[in-house]
Amino acid sequence: MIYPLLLLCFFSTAGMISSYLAIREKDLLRAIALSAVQSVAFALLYAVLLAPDILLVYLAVGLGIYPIILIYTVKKTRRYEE
Amino acid sequence: MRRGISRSSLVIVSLALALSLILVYFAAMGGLGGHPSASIVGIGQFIVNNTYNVFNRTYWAGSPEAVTSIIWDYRGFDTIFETTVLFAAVMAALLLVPGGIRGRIQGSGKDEGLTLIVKTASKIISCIVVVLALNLALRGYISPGGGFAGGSSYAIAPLLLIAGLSVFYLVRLGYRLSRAIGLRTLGLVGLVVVSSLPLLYMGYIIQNQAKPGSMFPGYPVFLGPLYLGGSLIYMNVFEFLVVSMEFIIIFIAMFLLDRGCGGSA
Repeated sequence: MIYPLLLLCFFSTAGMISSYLAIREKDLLRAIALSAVQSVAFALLYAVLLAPDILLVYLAVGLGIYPIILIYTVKKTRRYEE
Repeated sequence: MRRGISRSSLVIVSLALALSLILVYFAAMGGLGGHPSASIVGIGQFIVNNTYNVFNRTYWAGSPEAVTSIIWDYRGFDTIFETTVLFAAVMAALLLVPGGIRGRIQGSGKDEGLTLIVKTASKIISCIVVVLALNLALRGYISPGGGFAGGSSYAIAPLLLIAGLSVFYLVRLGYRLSRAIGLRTLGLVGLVVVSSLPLLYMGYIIQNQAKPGSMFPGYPVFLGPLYLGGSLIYMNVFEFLVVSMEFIIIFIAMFLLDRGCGGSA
């Protein structure tokens, strides 16, 4: 019972830290990579909570479609935030 | 500067850790649903006992994957209406495309895309993604996965090719807006046919297996040595077609809007 809770604690902390770093980051490509790390942490949270079906959709959307669309947008605009 | 960054990161790490510890504390006290109310426990027990109950097939779904059984059998209406919502959203996006559904991409795309390394890597990864997505969709009635997961995974492959190479590469591979719309319509028609076929036998809509009070004998679960899982495999395949093609429609429409080109040439 204690190990899933410890994993929950670890992954939610990692997700929170990487989302904070993604907000603070001025280089938008690195910010996208950091928010993908946050997606991985939350996907692993779903794995800990025994929801593999949601994990699969979350991986496809959070790690595939969302970063690529954002990278495409950054390519059209500027890479660095002022 | 260096000191400031490390101190702020220390603050954020400790804050995040404290918040997670509070969350975990409430989870340990049963906040995650360790003790749900008695009425919900009954539904869970019903599903666990009946999803693949080969001894008493009165309420079974013919599939060992309880989540897919809930999505396409016990709570089929929810998924049908989700598909309807996605359909309406894609129709609204298509209304914005210049040139309508006959919109074409003009140009050659000779000097577009990133470096050779990125191009080759995106080609290889998109092949892997396609195989993985088909695996998710076709085996969704046995293992975790299903139509939506498979379709949204499949959509990564053309998106990678758009980002890494160019949209003209996709056109050369045979991706067209009109073709994607046709395949999506095929998937929707398939969903409608599979879910309304039991009505012809005086059954319920979205019925999978034989149920008391219905004349429908149920979709075949076993076909010789093959294991089919009732209507779930057809639902997953058609949903895969609908979702993947809808994502591709959105991406091509995004590109057409971006370029402002199109026309019915």
